[in-house]
Amino acid sequence: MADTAPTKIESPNVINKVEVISDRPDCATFIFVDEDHTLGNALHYVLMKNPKVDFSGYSIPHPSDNKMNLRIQTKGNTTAQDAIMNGLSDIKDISQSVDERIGEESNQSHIYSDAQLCHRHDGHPTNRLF
Amino acid sequence: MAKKSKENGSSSASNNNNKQDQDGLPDALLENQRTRVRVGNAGNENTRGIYYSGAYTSLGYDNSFSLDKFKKNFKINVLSDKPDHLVFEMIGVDAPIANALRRILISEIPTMAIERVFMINNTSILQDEVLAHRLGLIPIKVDPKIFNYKEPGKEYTAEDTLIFTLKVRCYKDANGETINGTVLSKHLTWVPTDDQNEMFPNEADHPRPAYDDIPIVKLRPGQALEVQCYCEKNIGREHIKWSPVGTAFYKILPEISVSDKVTGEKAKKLKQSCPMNVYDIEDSGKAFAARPMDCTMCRECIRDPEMEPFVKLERVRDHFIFSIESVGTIAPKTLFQDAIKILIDKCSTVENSLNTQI
Repeated sequence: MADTAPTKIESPNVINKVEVISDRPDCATFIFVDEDHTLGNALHYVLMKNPKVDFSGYSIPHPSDNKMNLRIQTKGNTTAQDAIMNGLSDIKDISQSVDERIGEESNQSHIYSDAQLCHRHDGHPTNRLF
Repeated sequence: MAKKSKENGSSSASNNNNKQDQDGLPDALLENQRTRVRVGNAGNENTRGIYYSGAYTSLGYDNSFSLDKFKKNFKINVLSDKPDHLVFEMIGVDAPIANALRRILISEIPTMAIERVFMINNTSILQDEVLAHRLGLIPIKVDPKIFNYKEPGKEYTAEDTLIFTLKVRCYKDANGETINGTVLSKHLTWVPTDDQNEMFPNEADHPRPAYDDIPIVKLRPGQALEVQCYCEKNIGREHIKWSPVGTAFYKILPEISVSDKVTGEKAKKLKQSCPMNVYDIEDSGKAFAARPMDCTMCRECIRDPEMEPFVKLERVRDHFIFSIESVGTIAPKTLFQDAIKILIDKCSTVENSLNTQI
């Protein structure tokens, strides 16, 4: 810690993104680094919807710590590791089908894309103010 | 009590429960509690969604997640579409997912913004730090995907930095007219470094402020400004200047049912009580909610205890009206698709991290 090298910004693919604390296979606490309610609540939600999971809950112990804790207890017919993997792939599946649907929607009815965004480059009405 | 909502709008609400593999619970009251948030005079009821997979097992309803069921029920419907403002309905998704996308839109989509400002000359009345702050908030229209995050402590490179200069002098011309009285964002000129000219071969793709008419500072004749601005890539969680949206928000669809007994004077009273003009009166004299989308849930219509039993204010729990207002650099549709990608990437990162530990 006390080295003089400049602090390196953590790249998104750090291996120690998650720390697992577990002394039995069916229960575990996952400590996420640099995650918040965005992933915490979404994971909690899909885990609760998994019939093999008995309990899931998350907390952010302190706002100035960049940590998020997620607790999973399964019904015993699967491991907590498998449950979280399942949850992650559920979120991915949901996201993918949302993506597909917005793609279909923009094919059917035109939705503005980046190309049309330069509409205020000249002659915006507020120019008259100056 | 719960079967009154005739104008059922859109979602898979409380109609037929004869199917074997039900869309809802057999009990009307429980189904209402599951799918609706009740807005009452004393407060809101059933605000919390029930997500536990086995919550309704005894009633024969499977509350667990199934992708097929999700795909069947999920709908997107565009309500209003402008180049920088998209409003759409997202139906059949639960709040944690909608909220994750909203949070990502606001704070986790990378953009470019002015981060360092070198003051060469500033004789305007604006202090250096205030001017630098104003410059930082100008949205820069450039594709952020082609840039890297700047590593702290390292030199600036063409791959992670964009340079703009701002050199303006205010003066009076021969006719006595003040020139450059207001420094605008269009005065920022891009200075390509190294091979950045090749990165943007088309004139139209050149990095520039999203709008040309953003006032930066006002000058009087004789005052001048010369600064150099360095843009870096980052996300809105670091500073709001990197947020690609003015705001992104959703509201949950309001559903208003008015009792058949509201007629005549009572109907007139109801129509007049609403500040958003949600209600109308049928030819038969009955009041009904004509524009439920305009309802802000102010509860003015049920404030009178006499009216409360006749008007039911609810929100459809899984029906979101999502609004994305871009700051002008990336189109709202692209932003939404980016947000989805980022959510997927987040999951992959966690998966990779867990896999390396086993």
